[in-house]
Amino acid sequence: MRSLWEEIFRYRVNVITLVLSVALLCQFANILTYIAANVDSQSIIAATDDDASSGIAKVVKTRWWSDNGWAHYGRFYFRTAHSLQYFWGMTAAPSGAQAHEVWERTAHFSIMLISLLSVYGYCYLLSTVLTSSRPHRLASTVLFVALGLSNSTWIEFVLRAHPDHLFALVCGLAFYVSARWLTSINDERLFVGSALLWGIAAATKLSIVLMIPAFLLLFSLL
Amino acid sequence: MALRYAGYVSFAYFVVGFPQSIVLDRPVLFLMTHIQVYLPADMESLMAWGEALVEQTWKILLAIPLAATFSPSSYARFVLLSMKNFLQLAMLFIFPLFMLFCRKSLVPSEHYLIPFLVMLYLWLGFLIAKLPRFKISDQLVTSFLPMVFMLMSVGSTPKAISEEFNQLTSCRSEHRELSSLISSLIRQGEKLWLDPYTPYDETALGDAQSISWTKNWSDADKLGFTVFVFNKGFMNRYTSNVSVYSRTENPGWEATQAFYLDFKAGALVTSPAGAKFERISEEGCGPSHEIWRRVN
Repeated sequence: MRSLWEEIFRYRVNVITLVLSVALLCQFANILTYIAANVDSQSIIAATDDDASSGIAKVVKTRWWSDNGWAHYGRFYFRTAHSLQYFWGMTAAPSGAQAHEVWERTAHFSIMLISLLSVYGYCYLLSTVLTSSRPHRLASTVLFVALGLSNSTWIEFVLRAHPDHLFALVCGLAFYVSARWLTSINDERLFVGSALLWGIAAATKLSIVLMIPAFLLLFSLL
Repeated sequence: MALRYAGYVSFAYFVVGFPQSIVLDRPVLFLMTHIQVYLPADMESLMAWGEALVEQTWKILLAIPLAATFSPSSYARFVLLSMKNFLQLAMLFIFPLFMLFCRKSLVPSEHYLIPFLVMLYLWLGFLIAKLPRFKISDQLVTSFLPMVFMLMSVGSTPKAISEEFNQLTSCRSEHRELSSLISSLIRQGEKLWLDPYTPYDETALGDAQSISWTKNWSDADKLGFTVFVFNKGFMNRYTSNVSVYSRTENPGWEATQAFYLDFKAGALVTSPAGAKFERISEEGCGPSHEIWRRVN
């Protein structure tokens, strides 16, 4: 018994990383069950949420090579959701549903999942800024996700079809790379990387225009 | 350098959105229309803004320094960021927050804050990366404190998720019944005029159904609708407790209000052209819906 504890102690970091990974997966799986249970067809979602219903309609219509008729915003969002849906096919199939309903349900699931993955993405990003220790990153991610989603607005926009969490993730990544670039201003890869990420953010949501004065100031202070 | 940067930003924007992104006028027109939706800030919107900001930030703002205190520091190079860099980066979320602050936009749009708050959290993380950390024994740090963080998260799945889920799904079965009724009316050859926030039949062809945000008797008679499907929550925007966020100066607002007021009592309604409508269905879940059908 003593030697077992010694072994566990020797590999304690790996053991804790494993335990925390399981905790993170459990948290993710639990939230995912809410997403799956919330899935419905475009028509039913329209009864409570006009934006989400039109979001489902746009994902259904989106292709990477063509115009989905909605040029205002969200190309990256709709195209990412379309790609996920394409790989899943018509899998959200409760018995008795018509083919178009099944396709819409899969679209609905894909857009909500993108939001949830985005929340995990930016919480993990924040953890990497705070610490280099993998167990602490995992623990902090679980903590930040739990605290973030305890706010009704944040969880509402995971369960409703909106691009805001994906936009937050892309902005977060762009912000992170921009900060890295500011620490080594001559690094061409970071310069190009941060600009490309801001471009993708612009293709996700047009709220990026609110940041134009900040970009002007950023470059004027270089 | 700024021009080259803008070039790369535009390149990514156009490539990710191609071929839609080559049409630049549509997003610009959309933005200009969107700006018109929002009015200048007033005291009520400022208070709502402040409340949303505090509500969405306080827990994570407390958790970030706490998590950092009990974690080994990052390898990252953020210690190299100067105060000028911090100012440059801070502008990226302060400007948007300020611009939201200047418009009466938050009451229906608290989610606009999310991306800018994520940047604020990262910025705070960069700032903390520059600060010295407590010296805690490696053993304690690696084996015990992550667990404490986990417990501090008061359960890894907050109650807000189930509350929000229940709110979103509590009327689904009623909405499915309503959806079936709408499909059945369309199959019977009726011509439906629907409110936003109502189920509809995506398979209906031609002009069998139409959804509109404004309604009036002139269009109803001219277009020959035989069934109206109302969302009572939406109707109430016009008929009771008209919110300060309602744009009553919009053309069509008064005509829409007059149209809905005729239906408010629930009795038989006669249009100016003589069409009579009676309520054939009413479901009482959530904002609730009702269906009116022409009887003559």
